[in-house]
Amino acid sequence: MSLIGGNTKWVLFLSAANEPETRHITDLAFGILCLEKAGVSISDIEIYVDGSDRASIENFLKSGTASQLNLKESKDFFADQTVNKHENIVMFVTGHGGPLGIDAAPPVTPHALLNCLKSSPNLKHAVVYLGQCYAGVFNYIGAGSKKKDDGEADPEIIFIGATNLHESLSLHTTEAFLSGPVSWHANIFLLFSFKWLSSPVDIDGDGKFTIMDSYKFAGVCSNGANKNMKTNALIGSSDLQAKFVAAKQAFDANQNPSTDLALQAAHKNYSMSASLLYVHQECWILNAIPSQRIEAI
Amino acid sequence: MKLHDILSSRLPDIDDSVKECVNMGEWLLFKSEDSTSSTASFYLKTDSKIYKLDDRGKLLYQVEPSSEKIEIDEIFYFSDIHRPISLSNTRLF
Repeated sequence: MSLIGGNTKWVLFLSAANEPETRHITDLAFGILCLEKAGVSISDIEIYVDGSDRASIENFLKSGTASQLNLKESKDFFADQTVNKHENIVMFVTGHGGPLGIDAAPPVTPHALLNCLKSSPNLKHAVVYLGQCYAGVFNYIGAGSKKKDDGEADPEIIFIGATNLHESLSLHTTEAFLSGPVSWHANIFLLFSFKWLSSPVDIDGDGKFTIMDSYKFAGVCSNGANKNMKTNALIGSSDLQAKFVAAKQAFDANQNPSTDLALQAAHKNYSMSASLLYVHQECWILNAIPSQRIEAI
Repeated sequence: MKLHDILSSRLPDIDDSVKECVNMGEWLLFKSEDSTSSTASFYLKTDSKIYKLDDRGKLLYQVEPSSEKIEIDEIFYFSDIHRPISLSNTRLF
């Protein structure tokens, strides 16, 4: 059974209590790019993004595809699942997260997502990649398949978290989209998960490209990128500090909107770099045994 | 989405730190059709605000979201300022 060759719904999910950040929309645009490159049909990809500026959201997503998009909102995912016809679902979640779950109005709690998937008709397998901060609140819940009252097995759910009870890492990258090279602050675990789908690697050498391979690949690559970026951040921090101090002095000497904007930018560059040094990320997988046999490709 | 590369000298009134933020993909420098004059103007989107700029990059005013409908469909980067490397193509092991 292969997810790409099978009856699979591929979900790109970005909910937001207010407006989504463009970096999260770009995470999903990279996702569409990689999924289509992997051979997934656009008709099997469902995109759920909240936000009032639908035209700009669609423009960002279209940097990853030439296909027609049918953009929905996050609440539509839960409605759509009540009439699910797919055997498998692979879901990628970006956006913000907190202790109460995925940022939305109201937040998507672990049990809201679990119950939605468990009660989806026709569904046998679900793999959910959780890229948001504090994804670990979705760990340690009843994801494994169990017999229902009618004797039938409920769906096997696999949750994969970019990080445990920490903030999730985003790093600056430039990737080749259909429109050209795009630079953004990318969710690195999702970036490497998508990359694996478009260029799979058999990490454990069992001759198959499984969900477990995707987890190990994304984890190793995220941790490697993290370490490299932290090193570079420390090396570059004194230069950024000097620029920040100069911008502060310029603003103090002549307070106007331009010097204020320059100060905001210098502070942004410096603080982004410094904060990298303090974020810890360690991925996890819940319900690992089925993930070793579910083949993606 | 159309992407454009311009020299940093094209917008001399934008501070270098702002240009670095743009090239990192943190802030967005984009053009949008002006609803009042049908010409495209430069805008800068920071974490929480959108500013309208003049043709040299000088800050004109902060846009109130309720007053102007601005569609982002042309993004600009500076060709002579560093951009991040591709993480997905970097050999990490």
